[in-house]
Amino acid sequence: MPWGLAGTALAAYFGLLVVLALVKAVPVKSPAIQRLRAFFPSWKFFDDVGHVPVLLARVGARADALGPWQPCLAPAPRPWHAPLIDAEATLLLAYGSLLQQLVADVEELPDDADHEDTVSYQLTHHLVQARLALAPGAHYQFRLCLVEPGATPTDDDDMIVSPVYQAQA
Amino acid sequence: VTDLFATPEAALAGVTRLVAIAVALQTVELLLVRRVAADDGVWRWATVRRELAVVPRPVRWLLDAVLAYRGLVVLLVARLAAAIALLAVVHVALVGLLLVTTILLALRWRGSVNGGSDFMTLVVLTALTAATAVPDQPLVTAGALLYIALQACNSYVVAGAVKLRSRAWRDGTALPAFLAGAVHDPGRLLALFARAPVLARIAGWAVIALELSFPLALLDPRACAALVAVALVFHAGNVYAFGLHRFLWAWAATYPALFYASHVIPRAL
Repeated sequence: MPWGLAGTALAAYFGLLVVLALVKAVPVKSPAIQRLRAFFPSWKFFDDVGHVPVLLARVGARADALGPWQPCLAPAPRPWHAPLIDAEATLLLAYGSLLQQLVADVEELPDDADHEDTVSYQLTHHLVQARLALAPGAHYQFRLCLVEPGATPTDDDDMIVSPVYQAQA
Repeated sequence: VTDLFATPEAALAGVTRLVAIAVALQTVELLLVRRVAADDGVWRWATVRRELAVVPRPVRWLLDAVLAYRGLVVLLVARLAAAIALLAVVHVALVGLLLVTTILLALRWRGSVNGGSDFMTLVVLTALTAATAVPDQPLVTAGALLYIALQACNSYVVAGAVKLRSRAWRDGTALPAFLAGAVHDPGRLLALFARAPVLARIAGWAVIALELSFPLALLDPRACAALVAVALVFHAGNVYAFGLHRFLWAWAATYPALFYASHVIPRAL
């Protein structure tokens, strides 16, 4: 195959793309850019193994008698129609993105700001309420840990520990 | 198969049908889990809209109307109807509606519903809107198809390059680590990789090789057919292992454009 100017340009393009992808990028952490990120596609899927956020919660009848910490998000069953529609998997992926947004938002907060005021924290709080299906008056607390994939969270892994809340009627 | 999408008309029709299926499936899913966006749901509008305080008030009113729970359900039904109609009739109004609703849904879910699959759906719909807006301009149609093909190649090459940079991908520990956090029970795959770690290493390198070699699809229709076939197996594996079914359909929508490019680009070289 003759290799003209167009071929050289195409090879150079993909070569440059590889070089740029290999350079460690500085992430843009602006919340506005994050909300509009669909317009700036990133194709860096599964690029590196790092710490992953894990959400745990505990419930009790009284604030001083909460039960053991339990994971809020468990793997979903794999339905036969998963190649077409797997709403539960999509939802779990969206919950995972929410937790990653919370981590990013907390890391970006100024020292004098309260993470409980962030939208990510409040949505995570809603997520905990939805997953626990709480009885009115029940007390609950949640924590966000950053762990190696598959590892069991310990107290040292805590990033956020919520106050103890009481479920409303 | 290699000649199925050799003409711009056939390739455009293929992309249109496949992206319509992708959007229809995405929308059915969102309708099934719509309660998470209800007024007492996880992504309740009253909380999410706080982040839009910076946008002008008329825009906020508009967003309140279409993205609060009731408006959102109407939006999803309209989107599903437009996607189904697009299977029968190709019209810029239908494609445009899918594009606008995809952007609105990304805003509603604070950036994207499902990351990469939303990005690729948006890429395809943007190009398709341009192509259907001026249907009698062959240059615009060809440009739209080549843009989609190039973005598909970009996605694989960038994903492959960043994996190549990662020691965990090179030594075979990345795949089990990602599987450990998968949305479906990874038990059997993890047990397999624990018994034979070399399999995880081979699988990791196979993914990198596939992704980095994908631009070869632009050089020859037979190479394109072979790479698309392997990519479909790869995406099917991702559906099983990671629940990434939306990626399968979003990327499949780009393949007719890739086939078209594999006919056109060699002639330009």
